Amino acid sequence: MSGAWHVVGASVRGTSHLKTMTPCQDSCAYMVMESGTLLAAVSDGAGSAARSDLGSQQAVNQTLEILFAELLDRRPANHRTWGDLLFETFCETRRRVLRLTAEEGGQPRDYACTLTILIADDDWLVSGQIGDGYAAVQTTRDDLVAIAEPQRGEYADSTYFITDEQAADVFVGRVYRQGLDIGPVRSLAAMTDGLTNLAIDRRSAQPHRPFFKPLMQVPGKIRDHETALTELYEFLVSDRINARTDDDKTLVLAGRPGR
Amino acid sequence: MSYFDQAEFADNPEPRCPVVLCLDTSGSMKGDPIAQLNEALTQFAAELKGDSLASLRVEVAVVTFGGAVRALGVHADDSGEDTGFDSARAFTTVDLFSPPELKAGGGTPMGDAVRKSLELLRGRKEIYKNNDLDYFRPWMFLITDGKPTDSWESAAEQARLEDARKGLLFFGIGVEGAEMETLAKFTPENRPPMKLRGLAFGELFQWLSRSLSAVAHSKVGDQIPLPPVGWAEVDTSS
Repeated sequence: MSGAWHVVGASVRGTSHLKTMTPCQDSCAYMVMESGTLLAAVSDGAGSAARSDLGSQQAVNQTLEILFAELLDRRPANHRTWGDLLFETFCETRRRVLRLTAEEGGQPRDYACTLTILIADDDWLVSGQIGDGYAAVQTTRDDLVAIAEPQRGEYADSTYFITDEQAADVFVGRVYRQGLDIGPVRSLAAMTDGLTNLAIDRRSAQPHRPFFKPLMQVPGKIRDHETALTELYEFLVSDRINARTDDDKTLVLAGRPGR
Repeated sequence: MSYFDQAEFADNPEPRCPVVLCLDTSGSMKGDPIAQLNEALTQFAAELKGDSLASLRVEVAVVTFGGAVRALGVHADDSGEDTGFDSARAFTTVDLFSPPELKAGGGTPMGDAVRKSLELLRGRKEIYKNNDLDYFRPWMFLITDGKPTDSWESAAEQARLEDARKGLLFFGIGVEGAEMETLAKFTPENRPPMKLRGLAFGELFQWLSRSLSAVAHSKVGDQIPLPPVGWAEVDTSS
């Protein structure tokens, strides 16, 4: 057993959205359960969808609510049962978002959003993906491994959304047994596509080490969550970041000091 | 200390070219010389900021020796403050560079300044390595108008050795009154110290800014020709 997860995450409005007075369409949610299991979800509401800010909020909140209830008094014991839990969680999240859509009298596409889900405990690491989010882990051997990669849609610059009719076919789940399929996880990061051009090395399509190395050290150092959150906001709204992306951006960082 | 104190590499993953300006601020620099040096530093910053790639790649640290030896803050937030030779704090990329106002006074502890500058560079390279950042061969600029008032022989030896094993590029500049034979002990044989004409700090720093622009636009490891001032070609590999 190593130390408990430390986690910090934030979504901020991009400079292009500030200009057009569009709300932040990104959302994130995260928690560490009493059992020590880390749950995190990030979502990017489609720019062209009228209520996608609500869609992304619902998607991350419902995902965590479902996972929390499911994992409260049981824990899947193998790859298959983890995979089932992940897929059911995704389908139920999708149903709930669509229900909200219907209640509010809107069209599903108005709530279009991506969804990246992460679950991690001492032994397991699980990722779920629809859309163009990105997630990577740093192992205790200092390897950086992408565990959720952006999906390209049919058209240039398009991707898939939780509200798509074929969403369940496009959703990709990955289940890793730590120490077996992947090295023991020290830190992990999940983000929306506002940050991926900094995070992914264009030539190798691998996690860009100068981006991740400093950031992956952050969660292990966190003693005070409020300060960490403030500094994460400052980082995400800095001129340096804004010079490279005008989109909304979300970053969730989690790590274990003991590893 | 901030949780995101090394995020400078996350939001700017460009390879770095670290430059230490090791500047004599002893009593003899008082008056015109220090005023001209300050002005030259300001122009240097303005000129390099105009080159957007160099702004993100060239990192500057300012070490002064005039009585005490200090690594001064060069970031807008801490310009002129004593950084305590903290390699994480003493360097700032040119886009955020805010030159400190230098004041002259005291003796010329050049040996100590060079020794600590070399240490500062070593620390900086460690930080690059820890963050998997590529870097160019560091530059060190020693500018003096006198002779060391401390023991300097071992520092000179270290500088030459470090340059010989390509750990850095060492340039020695003597201002009127400098003891050039002593300065020559710090510099490699193929790059003897240069004597500054009058107080032409402006031209010197303009040359430096152009040279660094050329380095910043090259690939790590490339041989690049520098603008003419005595040396023809310099190897920039780390």
